[in-house]
Amino acid sequence: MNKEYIVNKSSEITLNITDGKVDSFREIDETTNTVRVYSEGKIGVAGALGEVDFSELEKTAETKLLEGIPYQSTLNKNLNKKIENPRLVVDKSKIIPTAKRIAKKVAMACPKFLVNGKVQLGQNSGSYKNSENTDLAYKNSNLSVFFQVKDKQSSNIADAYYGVSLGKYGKSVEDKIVADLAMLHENFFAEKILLPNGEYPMIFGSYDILGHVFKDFIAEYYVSGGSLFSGKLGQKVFNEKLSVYVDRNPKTNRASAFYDGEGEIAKNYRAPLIEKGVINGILNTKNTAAMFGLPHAKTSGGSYDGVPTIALPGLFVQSTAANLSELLGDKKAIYVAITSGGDITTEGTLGLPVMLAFLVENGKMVGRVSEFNASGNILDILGKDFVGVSKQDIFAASENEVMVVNMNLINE
Amino acid sequence: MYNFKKGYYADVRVEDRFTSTVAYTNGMLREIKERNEKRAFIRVFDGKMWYFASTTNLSDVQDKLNGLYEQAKPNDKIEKNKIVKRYEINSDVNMKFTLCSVRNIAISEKKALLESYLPILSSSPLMSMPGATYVDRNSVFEFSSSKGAYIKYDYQTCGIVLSCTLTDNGQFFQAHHQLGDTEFSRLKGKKNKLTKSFEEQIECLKNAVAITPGEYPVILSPEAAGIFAHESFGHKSEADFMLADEGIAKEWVIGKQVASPLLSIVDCGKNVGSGYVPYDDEGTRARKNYLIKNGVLAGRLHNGQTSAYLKEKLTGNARAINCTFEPIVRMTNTYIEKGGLSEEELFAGVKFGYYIKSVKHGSGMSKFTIAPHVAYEVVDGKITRPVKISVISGDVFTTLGLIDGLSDKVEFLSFVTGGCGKNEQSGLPVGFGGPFVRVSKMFVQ
Repeated sequence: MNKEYIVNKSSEITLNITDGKVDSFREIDETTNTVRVYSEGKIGVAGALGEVDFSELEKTAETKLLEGIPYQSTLNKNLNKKIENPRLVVDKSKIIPTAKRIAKKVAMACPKFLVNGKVQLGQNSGSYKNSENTDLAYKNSNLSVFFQVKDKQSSNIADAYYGVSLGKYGKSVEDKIVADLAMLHENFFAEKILLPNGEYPMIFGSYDILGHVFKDFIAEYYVSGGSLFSGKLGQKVFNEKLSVYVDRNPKTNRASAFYDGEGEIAKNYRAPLIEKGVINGILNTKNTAAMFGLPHAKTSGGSYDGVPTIALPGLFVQSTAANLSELLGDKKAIYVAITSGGDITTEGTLGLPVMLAFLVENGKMVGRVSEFNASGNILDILGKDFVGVSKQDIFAASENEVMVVNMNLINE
Repeated sequence: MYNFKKGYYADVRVEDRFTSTVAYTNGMLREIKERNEKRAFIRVFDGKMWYFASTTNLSDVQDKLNGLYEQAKPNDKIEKNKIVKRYEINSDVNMKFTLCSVRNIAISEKKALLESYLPILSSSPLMSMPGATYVDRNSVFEFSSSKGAYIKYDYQTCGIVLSCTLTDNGQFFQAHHQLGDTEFSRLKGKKNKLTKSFEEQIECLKNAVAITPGEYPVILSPEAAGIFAHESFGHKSEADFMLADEGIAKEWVIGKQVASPLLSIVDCGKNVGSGYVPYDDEGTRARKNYLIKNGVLAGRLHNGQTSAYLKEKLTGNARAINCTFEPIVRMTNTYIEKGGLSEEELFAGVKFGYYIKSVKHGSGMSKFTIAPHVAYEVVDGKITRPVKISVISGDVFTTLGLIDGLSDKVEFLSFVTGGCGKNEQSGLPVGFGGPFVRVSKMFVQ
């Protein structure tokens, strides 16, 4: 009987900021434990929170085999790897003064904003072991700084968001965060520019566009014909400058393990979905890959007491330029900061109501654009209308890349 | 029960949550499990800062409480604090679901019910990749505060979600239907309803046409109207957006005309369903809260902090998604009250427009957006052919003023998947409802 033993621990301190002041402290520690057993093409799973007796959990998992859930799995053999960085991004004793300081600086830099937000120090660790002598372990720390700001005169819950996820923190990063918020503040209150209807280069966080087609990469949709990309695995569907990966690389994703939920490690810790415009991966587990005859994508996850499912812990999009200036030259573009909802039809028509956007010239934010609707077909947006990916966001402290695509602007 | 110390406000919220899940994919059993989690959330307030902790070990609660006391600073006047003074001291045991608890129903019975509906998903050659899930939840909450409150109540939902991919001549449609309830027995005998729903979605696959983006009259079904009420105005009624700015509180004054005089929107945790919250997570008893009454701003939703800040009464809207998070201002059951038109009279007022029957998702800030699932063209007051719409959207206040008709019956809906997201807390169970609502102009694309 094959067996897997999985432990995940998360430790999180969160400081809440209301009106530029830290008003609450929250500490959460959680440990989840999982045992999976496999026998005769069936799976049994048992999970528990906190400290557990694994032999008891194993017995429970074995009784669950009687439920008869079919599952095809071949365990990794003799794989030993540990990537553990025990250092916290900010020492626990310094997190409250750090949060108070940054909240105060941002509130001073943004006098017309009501500054709410959270500073969260997280440490995640875990291990995966199996009966085939595989032993994997990880530990990492992350600091996220998130502001949800609003015009003091506005009746919205929030008018703009700013968030960064950081592996290192110091004065220069803090200065960049404050400068980013000051830039947001200045441009937010600039007179709105009404751009005429037409096609424009638009700058998005990668997830804002790609998030609308993730379901099309799920194995069940793909094989049923219910995906925009059904039958196109291995084919060039998108612009050759586009490469997208499920990210478990500790350098860029500090909140997840470098292995997936079934102990599999992707090349460079990133599982490909799209490489140079070619669909090279469909999100699956060992079971769905085998069931549907798909290449195993190494993209599984799932709840601590459940059968493995797919997971998307992070996204890495290969950059094509160092920054927006390099990508756009002197061309004007629209930085789309907030879209509200938005959806895609089965023909691939994407409609995005844009709530907050800024005009960008020479890589700099130079004003605010009136609300509009952005629209286009996803195959064009990520195909002929795809401009590229800038490694550096317009916000200096951000470690996330941004994507530039041409889309239609429609004023209501 | 707990040793609360003088000089601080503190409360402890404990949830004993039972859930079960049975799922089939492509005709094969994918999941069958029961889970029982117990968590506690502990809060200590010293008048300046809140200190929170969460634990899954209930024997650890007092230690956690003591640890928070050590971080906070004692305050002799804490009982006179404007937030603490407002907290209600309720004492109640309100167990509604003991006799019909899903804890007492064998998982084999839940599996059998789900299996009874599986044939619906293979009733047409256009169907593939059938998915069927049964989920339930029974929670027992206990709330104790240093002011002397002790409340115990239960909560229950159960439901079935069926889905499949429909394909025809290169076109596809992700079909689904959800049954949500609070009693297991009421999930039985729904074969006809489910079958009709999937037949309708097959018609959408075969006959839905693209639309020309633009502004049109729109009729919202009770489901769409409820989501519209939640997204367009419900979130704006959550008073935490007013914290720390007196200017906006003056601008957002009770009694201000904010919508068509036809419109009244209510939030009420007393209604049994997915948004049932008889006591909120600060121990406040639920009540019926008008957000808009006859087009006029009539109230807003509060937790203790916002209630004290705005000097308004508590409303019972401090909620957390579970005992890992602190309560923040959230909705419960949000619905539009009925109007005076029959459904036929309401539709008769549309020469050319669209009817939004069911919805995939919605969101709202200054604009709201709703992504329809099943939608139709309306010509001369009659529903004609199905259409493909990615989103309908509009400026919230403009659209609230453009409501020109409400039907005369309200339908309430409960859900077992999805939920409302705010800040870091997503998936909060809420309820929606309303009559059919006619809006003279919305942007459709």
